[in-house]
Amino acid sequence: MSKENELTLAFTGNPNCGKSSLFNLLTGAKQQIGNWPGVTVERVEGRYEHNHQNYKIVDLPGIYSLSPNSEDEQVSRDYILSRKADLIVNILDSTNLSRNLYLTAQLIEMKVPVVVVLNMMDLANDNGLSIDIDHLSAHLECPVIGVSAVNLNDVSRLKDFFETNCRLHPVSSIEFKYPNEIEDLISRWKILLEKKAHELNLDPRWLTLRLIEEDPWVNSVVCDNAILNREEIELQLKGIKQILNETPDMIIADYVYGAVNGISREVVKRIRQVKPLSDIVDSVVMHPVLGIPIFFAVMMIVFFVTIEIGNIFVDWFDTVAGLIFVDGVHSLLSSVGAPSIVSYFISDGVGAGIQMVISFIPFVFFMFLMLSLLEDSGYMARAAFVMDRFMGKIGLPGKAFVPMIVGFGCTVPAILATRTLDNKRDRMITIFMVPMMSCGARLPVYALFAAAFFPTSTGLIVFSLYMTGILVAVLSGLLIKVTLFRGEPSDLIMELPRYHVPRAKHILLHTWARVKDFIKRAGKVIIIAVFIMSIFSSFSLNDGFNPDNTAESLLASLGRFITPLFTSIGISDDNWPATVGLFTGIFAKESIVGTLNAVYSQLNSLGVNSSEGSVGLSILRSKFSPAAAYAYLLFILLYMPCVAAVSAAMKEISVTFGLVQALYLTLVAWIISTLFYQIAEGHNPLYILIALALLILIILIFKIIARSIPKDHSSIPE
Amino acid sequence: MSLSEIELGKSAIVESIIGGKNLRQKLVNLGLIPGAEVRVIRANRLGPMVLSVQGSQIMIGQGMAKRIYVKGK
Repeated sequence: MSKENELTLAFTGNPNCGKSSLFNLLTGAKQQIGNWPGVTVERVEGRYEHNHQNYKIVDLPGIYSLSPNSEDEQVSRDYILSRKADLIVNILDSTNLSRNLYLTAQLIEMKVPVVVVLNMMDLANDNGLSIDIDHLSAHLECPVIGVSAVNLNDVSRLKDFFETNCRLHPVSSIEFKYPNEIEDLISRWKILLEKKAHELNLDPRWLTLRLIEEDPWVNSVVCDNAILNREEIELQLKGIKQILNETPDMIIADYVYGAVNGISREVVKRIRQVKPLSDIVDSVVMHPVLGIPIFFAVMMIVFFVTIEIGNIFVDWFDTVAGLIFVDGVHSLLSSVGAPSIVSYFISDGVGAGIQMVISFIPFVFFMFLMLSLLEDSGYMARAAFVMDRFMGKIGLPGKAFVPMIVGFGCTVPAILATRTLDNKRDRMITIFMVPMMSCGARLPVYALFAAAFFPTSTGLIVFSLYMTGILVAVLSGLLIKVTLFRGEPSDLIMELPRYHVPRAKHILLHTWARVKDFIKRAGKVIIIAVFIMSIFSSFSLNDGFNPDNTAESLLASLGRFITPLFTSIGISDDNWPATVGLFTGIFAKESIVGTLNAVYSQLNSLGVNSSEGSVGLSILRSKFSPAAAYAYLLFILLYMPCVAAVSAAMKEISVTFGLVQALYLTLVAWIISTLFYQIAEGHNPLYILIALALLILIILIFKIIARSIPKDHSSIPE
Repeated sequence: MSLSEIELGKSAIVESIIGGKNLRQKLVNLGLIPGAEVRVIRANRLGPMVLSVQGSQIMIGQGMAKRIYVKGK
């Protein structure tokens, strides 16, 4: 809760109204990014001091209205109704006053203390608009200030403005009028709702209006407390609909828009006509033909920066983390005389886990950095437009490509990114496809094998794997679209944001928050996985603890036991470390390299300089044929994603969904790598037959399950 | 006629919306309500269109545009 004497300002406004720029300007470096308790909407809090008074700003999510249709709107409305804020600051985009004023009208109707900040006055001026601020303030009966984030003088003006109004507590007394039929109903129902409204500290007229709008929360409050029953409410609303020939919620919206449009017509004057530059840019990037190559070029740049620039830092991060957490901890523990078993688990177990997480940071950082850049510049929305037609072919909305692209970085944030999609069917199909977008963690494995087997065509091999992943994803998408998840994709509808120069600070803060989240999430799993692995690889049934004897360990026994299953992809029985690698890959794909390194080098008792961290390429060449190596990579590309990703899918959809997906992917991986190896080298018709039979079986099972699931109609309006 | 039939560069007035509460609310949020004037800024038969509504630009898919009825202006 807020500190003593601290005043709380809640910032609210439409998306793209320049809210976060103002927030950054006011709070400087003192801010925290977190999640709203219980939900996943991002919350940013910041503090500043002005005239010996401390202020806290709570930056609410960008919303268009307070009718809770999304988590963002729900969170904002709950916060405003909780009365935790001393002042609600409504920030408006001056270049688009009439639409922005709709939210203002809703806030005023709540009878909470509201002030209006007209942001981006400079831009309105550039667009040839002149706004009469005093006139607007008189119309709204609410304090109004005009600022632009580029003008540094405006910061102190704004702070003074907040200081004054925190004292005055301005609650506007204007009331928006509705047609007589609705006004009659308001006056009848308001009397009934008065007591409850008082109890909940809400305005009775506001509560009544929301009931007429069929607001689910208000409806249940009223019905659960037996103030009115559902039939009665429905009957009255139907009556209004019959007289006015439109649903009450639309009539209310119409009247509010009518009122704010009237105000905006009076206070905004267009002094000259300006053709915005963004229209010219849009006619190129949103062009029906040019738009697609431009989109792919942009994605290539995202990819190049993430992988190539990330790679420069990966080695550096890896080496430093290894020196500190593995070697450093090891020598520290030996110097204090810790028993070797303890120092082994702490340095080679936990320490190596931490090293792995840290070495992964550069990829994640650059991926999130590039995505934030695209979002902040306004291009992301254009990309959704361009891709809508293409994604529609596999039954997904254009927006669904974002998680797919994120999937090339890491599957876990990609699964979380599906939250931007509107219906559950779209989310399920997207999550199903995302793991086949080859994630960054698989890249080190490809790089290692390509260097050993295909040194002259490394790029081509890696590219072919990525393409195979995309191809299998598209085919899987088509399969589940006609079987498990039938129905229509949700239609694209969103505002086209203005382009602007990306804000460095905003992007860095955003990227850092996402990286931190990743470290926390993946860190736990990877450290635990590496720790368990080190136990399994250093204990054996006959020998007890002996870290130098991996070949006899529990892990090796398990690997030997499973290996026959992989004969079909070209892994011979004596190449069981390859199976062990797949096993550790379930915890984290990049740990496959580490496992192969550790086990092979122990077996050959050469290349012991583990600090260098690479398997002797010659050892690899003696274990795989080139075809088997490629089949092994195909398997790694497609088989079940790491535990972190599986648990994310389980959390987002359901446990069954996560399990079905993992099983499906593993089977498909086996089928495809078997087919490849048997066609290229093995030439064993029996395996080809088994693989094809399995493929048909999967399709049949999906078809049978599909019959028992009703078609999803959630995206189709009533 | 439906919004998806309006030609590039032409304006129209929204008359009615065929859809449930969810769709209606989404459209209200973006200012696309009966009586609102829309102008088609970008359109091709296959993909979504871009409209100018209440001073901002809105992207809208064909499926949704077909459920919005308008009269020409």
